[in-house]
Amino acid sequence: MLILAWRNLWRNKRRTLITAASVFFAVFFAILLRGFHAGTWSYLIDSVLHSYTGYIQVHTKDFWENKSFDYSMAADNPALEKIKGIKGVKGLIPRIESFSLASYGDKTKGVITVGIDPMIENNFSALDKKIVRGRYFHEKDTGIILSERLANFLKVKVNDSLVLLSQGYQGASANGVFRIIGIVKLPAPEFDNQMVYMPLSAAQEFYSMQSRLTSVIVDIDNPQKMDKITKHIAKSIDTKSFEVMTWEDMLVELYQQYVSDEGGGVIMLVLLYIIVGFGVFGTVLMMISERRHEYAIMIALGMQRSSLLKLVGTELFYICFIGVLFGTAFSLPIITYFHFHPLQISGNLADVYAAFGMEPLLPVAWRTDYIIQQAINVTGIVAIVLLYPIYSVYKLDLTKAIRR
Amino acid sequence: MKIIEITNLTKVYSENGNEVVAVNNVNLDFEQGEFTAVVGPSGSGKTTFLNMVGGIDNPTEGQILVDKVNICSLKSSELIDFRMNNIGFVFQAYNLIPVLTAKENVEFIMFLQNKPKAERAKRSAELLNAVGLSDRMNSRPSKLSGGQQQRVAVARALASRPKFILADEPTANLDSKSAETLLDIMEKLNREENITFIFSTHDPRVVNKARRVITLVDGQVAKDERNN
Ligand SMILES: Nc1ncnc2c1ncn2[C@@H]1O[C@H](COP(=O)(O)OP(=O)(O)OP(=O)(O)O)[C@@H](O)[C@H]1O
Ligand SMILES: [Mg+2]
Repeated sequence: MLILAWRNLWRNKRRTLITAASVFFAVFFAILLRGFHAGTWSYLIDSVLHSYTGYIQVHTKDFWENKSFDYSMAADNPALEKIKGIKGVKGLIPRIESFSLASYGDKTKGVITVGIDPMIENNFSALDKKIVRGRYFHEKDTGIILSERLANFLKVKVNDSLVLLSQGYQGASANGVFRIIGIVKLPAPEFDNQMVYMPLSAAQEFYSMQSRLTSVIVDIDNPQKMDKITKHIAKSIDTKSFEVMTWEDMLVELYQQYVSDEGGGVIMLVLLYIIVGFGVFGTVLMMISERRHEYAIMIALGMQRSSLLKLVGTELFYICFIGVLFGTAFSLPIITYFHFHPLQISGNLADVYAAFGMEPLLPVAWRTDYIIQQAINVTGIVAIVLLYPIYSVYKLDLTKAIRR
Repeated sequence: MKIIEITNLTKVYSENGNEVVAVNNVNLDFEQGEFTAVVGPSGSGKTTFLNMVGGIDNPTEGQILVDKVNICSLKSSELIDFRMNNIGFVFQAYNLIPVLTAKENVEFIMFLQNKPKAERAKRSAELLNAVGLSDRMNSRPSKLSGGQQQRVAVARALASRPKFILADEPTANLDSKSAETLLDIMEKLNREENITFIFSTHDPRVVNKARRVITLVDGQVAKDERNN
């Protein structure tokens, strides 16, 4: 039976090859497209998340909504230990996030102040690499680091002193003068406009909230497992007192941009596959109409219609399998190469990237999910196209087809 | 022993409002070992009749018993199995599956029956020998002449040891010499192995070889003669 299908395949070599080639091109381009698309986005998201929210954060319940110290947590909370033990969690990055009023000379601006553990944070976000002037925190620093646009707006330089005004924990007043030790350039303009970093201990003192935190970033080893790990965390801690949020919940705008761009990419693929689907359908149409007589004879001799259908299906499967196999085989080396040697972007786009503080690279994601997805897509097409043979094989009128 | 009993067999085709009575109230029996020709002018219903006896077409009225089994009452998938196990077919032309060799074509039904490989090989060799094509076992149909193709078709029809073989104009596309060879082979199988053949034909020389000749006119049995 398999032999029969295999030999049938080569009866009309040209048609088989053209059909297989169309599947090949679809799979080939789909994999490249997806690879570049996913690569660009994960690079972008990764850089944004690494300098701001991280993939997952844990807060006291309702903190994100209220951003108030009333919703802070103790740094030695046992729930945090539990999260550390979850598979896939690399570590926890403690933060104190709040708003302040920053003023220098006659300039005043609302800013986001983030208290960070200099060492732990730097391992996660490589903030020191983004320093454009001055230096990064020492172990026991008390100075602050500003984002570049904010510094420009306030017209401050390294070593100037900035006044910060805010409200501390439990109504305590919080104001202080901080020396600017460095200036960083952040990827997203909205953050670059308003970020002030200070060491965690300085922040705790400033806000009178000894050994308390507002947020904990959960650093994970694989961004693709984010949802799984998030669920896991939510299950292992008391969600009545804590909230677990992913970047998708926290950076809603970015996420929506991502989703809509993803949608655009998917539509392109759908179009690609619809075209291929029609190609495959045309082949099946011709195949069946040419072989009516032969199929009728096989049924007359005693072949069940269902077995005949399997034969047709196997043949179709072979054709598409060849396409998928070669499509994958040819695209893999390309995406692998560009994964390890990302394309350098030049020109305007490079400036855009630079403005975001990102290296102008066009990386390619190397993930099995979108590669396997193409095989699944083709299988889906085969399944849909097979409806026609199912219909025609079961409807085949033996007497007419034999007489022909 | 009666292997086929046909009563009141009628087939009416209706095509765009017109009714055509292709087979009209036919009553016939066939015995094991008969060698029967069905003749009649074009459009007299020979093909329709044979198709119904073979369970390829279903009658409008009447019944067909094959070895006491009423084939008209079988479900379509049961009927396919019944054909596989009980009835051999030789069609007018393009009988063979083009991508299979002569040997594989002969083994096709045994393959559907899941017969072991060794048995298939033995039987196909034996049958191809019987139709004089031992040396063409591994040829594809396109490499065989029309006469050789029909001989392979006869071998294939015999492969599953059916109760009888139906052949609708098996010689129609053959030159007279090939037609004669084919008929001689069929006749020899009938004589030596007691295999039942029912075939239709236009060719008087083929008719002469038959031991029973049924003449259809307008779908009815006009004559039913036995010679020898
Ligand atoms: N599928 C069909 N639909 C409508 N009419 C049909 C169909 N098949 C056969 N007929 C009609 O039934 C009648 C008998 O046809 P059939 O093919 O059985 O004759 P035949 O004796 O085999 O003829 P021939 O010698 O030309 O092969 C003819 O009038 C034919 O037109
Ligand atoms: Mg006919």
